[in-house]
Amino acid sequence: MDEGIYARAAAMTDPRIMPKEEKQILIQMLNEIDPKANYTKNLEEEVIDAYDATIKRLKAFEDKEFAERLIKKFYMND
Amino acid sequence: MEYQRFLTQGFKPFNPLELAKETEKIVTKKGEEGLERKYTNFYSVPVYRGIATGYAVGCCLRCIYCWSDWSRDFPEKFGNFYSPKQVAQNLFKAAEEGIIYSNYWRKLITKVNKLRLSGCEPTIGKEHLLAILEFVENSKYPLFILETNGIILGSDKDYVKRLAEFKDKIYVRVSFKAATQKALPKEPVQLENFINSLLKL
Repeated sequence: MDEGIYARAAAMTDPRIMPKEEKQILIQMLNEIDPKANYTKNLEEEVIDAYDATIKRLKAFEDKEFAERLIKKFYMND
Repeated sequence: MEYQRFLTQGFKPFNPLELAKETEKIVTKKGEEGLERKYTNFYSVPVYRGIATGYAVGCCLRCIYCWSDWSRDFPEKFGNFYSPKQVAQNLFKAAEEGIIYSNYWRKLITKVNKLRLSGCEPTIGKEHLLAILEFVENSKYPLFILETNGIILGSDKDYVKRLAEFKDKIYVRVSFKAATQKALPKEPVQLENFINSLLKL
């Protein structure tokens, strides 16, 4: 922004992954950087969608065996 | 050091800038027409009321909720290398063709005149991206949207200064993942319920 580039913030604020307090801190920080953008009202908020890769990444984070199977799958043809 | 794939419980914290360097070694290579970079596809989509999009391979973050395809975690296995000129040409072609995968959206959005790099992290491969912007600058297209997590730009003032040379056409959308260092759940917080709630959407 200091260089005159038009820039806007978006954020992954899905309440299932980001606590309300963290979201407030983020908005406060963004407002300090760019008060004119008024992120209290205008923050583009992202939510988690149920894409296949998303679901598998979440499962792999929880389930070590699933993660190992997943990695093996990608190397099966090597 | 082993290349960081998707996260699992007990993963070792990593430096995203180091991972960016590792990823850059995989997703870029020198070519006859400048630094080439890997992409999985180029086509127009309805977001931003229609935009031609190049899907870059490889990222410096490993968000557990990420929607990007597996080229994020296994960049060596996905995508093809394209020179900056080829990327620009593919973006222009995708814009000319408009939305081709959906008749519904094609009827609603009849003209595409915006360009975008998205997918994983398009700022990996600095000289490649800046070279693409040279082509965009000299094109008829009025707007180029760069979707980024901002990590690399935040660490490289020269990169931002050079992007600013294209400020008449560029819009940078920075997607923040967290405000504090407590970005990830400390334990497997009801992930089963979480996944189920996603599947019900």
